[in-house]
Amino acid sequence: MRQQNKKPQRFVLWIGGGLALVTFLFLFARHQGQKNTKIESSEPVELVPTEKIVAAQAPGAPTEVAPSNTEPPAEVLKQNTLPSSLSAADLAKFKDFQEIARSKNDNDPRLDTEFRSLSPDLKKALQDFYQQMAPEKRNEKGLVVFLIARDLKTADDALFLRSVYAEEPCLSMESCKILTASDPHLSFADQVSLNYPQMAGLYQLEKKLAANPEFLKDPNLREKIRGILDQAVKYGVPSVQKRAEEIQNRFRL
Amino acid sequence: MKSKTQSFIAALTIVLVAGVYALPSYAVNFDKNVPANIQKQMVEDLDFINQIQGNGQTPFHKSIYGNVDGATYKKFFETHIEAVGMNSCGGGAAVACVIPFLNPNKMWLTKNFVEFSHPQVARVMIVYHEARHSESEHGNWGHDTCPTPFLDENGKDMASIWTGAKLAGQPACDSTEKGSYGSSTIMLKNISKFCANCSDKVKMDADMYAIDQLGRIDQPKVKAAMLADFNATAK
Repeated sequence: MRQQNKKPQRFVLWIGGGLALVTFLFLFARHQGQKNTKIESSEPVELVPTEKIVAAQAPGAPTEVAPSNTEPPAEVLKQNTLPSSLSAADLAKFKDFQEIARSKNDNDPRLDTEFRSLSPDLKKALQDFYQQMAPEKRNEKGLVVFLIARDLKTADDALFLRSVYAEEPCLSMESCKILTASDPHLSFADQVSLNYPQMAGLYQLEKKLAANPEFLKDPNLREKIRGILDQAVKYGVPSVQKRAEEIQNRFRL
Repeated sequence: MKSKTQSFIAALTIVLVAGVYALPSYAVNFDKNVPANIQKQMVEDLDFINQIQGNGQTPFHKSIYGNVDGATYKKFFETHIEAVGMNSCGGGAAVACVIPFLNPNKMWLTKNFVEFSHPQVARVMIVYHEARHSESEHGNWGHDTCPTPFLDENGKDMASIWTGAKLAGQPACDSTEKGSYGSSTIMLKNISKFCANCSDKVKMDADMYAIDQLGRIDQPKVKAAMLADFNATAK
């Protein structure tokens, strides 16, 4: 009788053990796969496009090959160069900024916690970083403009923003200096990204003025903001000019 | 013995549940020749969209996708795209494409997916735009030929800012909000308005690309309906 009762228990144990083994092997294989991927991708992501990836052609793929930019950009970012003048707290924030920029994760919550109120020194470091980045780094450059425009407080901030609209427009995502043919299918995405730093500045400026109209009561700041917009309407891209004109009209600047 | 068996089964259940939760959010089948950095970027972008939590949605969004929610977007992607490979997608600045005659449910990426510095929302927009093209039952939502002339609100030709190539006569428009341009515009506008856990930057970017893409809707009535939709909320 006792022996008979043990049979179903042994059956359950065998089935359970089998399932556990399969699960373990599956998770182990998966973990190894993730580990391998991580090893491959854990190399620092260059903020300057110095090397190109060769895309393998799929069977039946069209024969056109995307033109490649063989010339490295003039601006070379020294990633290990950290501003020596920063306080420990600002240095930590600056490193976080670099990490966020490299991660390409625009939804990093630190952007809205650590970077809402920036010290003048940190702003200066970010502006220097902006100047060092390759012009093709549209999103990363736009991120700097976004942060400084969102926290626009001083004449120095305004001066930096004004300089963004004095830049030469970027001609293509591949190289800001080389005009390449664009596919009309999704060319709008390229055209927005090409002007991303400029548009990010205007978006934040408008948002700031709409939320805090009293900001314009300071004659000095009003003059500086007018200077930014005057420069923006001269920027060589109609969509940027139009947006700047809309802000001028909305706030009578 | 009975209690040991029960304990064992309980432990096994925990292992299995933990295993399910340990799986990556998206199960993307990449071809072997998709470089690791492109796979990583694609998975990270899809994970980002999977984490979205919304606090509302517009009627058009509700009818195309459902609620503004990561699970909704995940389901949309996974029910549309079964594999991801590498292709030049016609060359030039292309980032991704769907080639229905090869496989309507396969998305192709180009090296530009990681080489070009687009904001994350722009990459996601392109992925969802292309995913919409996988719907063979709707003729892959083939694009409308832009009218000639195709003018912007200032009466100027819609054209490439640098090459001057006009969109008029090109298959680069939509006459419905349900097409690839329309649906991804609606998705972005909803993320911009209703995403509860998106950064300021993501919301700004979503609005920026949505507004621009709206220009590809060539039927004034449809465009007006979309603008009205953006001011409405669906339950």
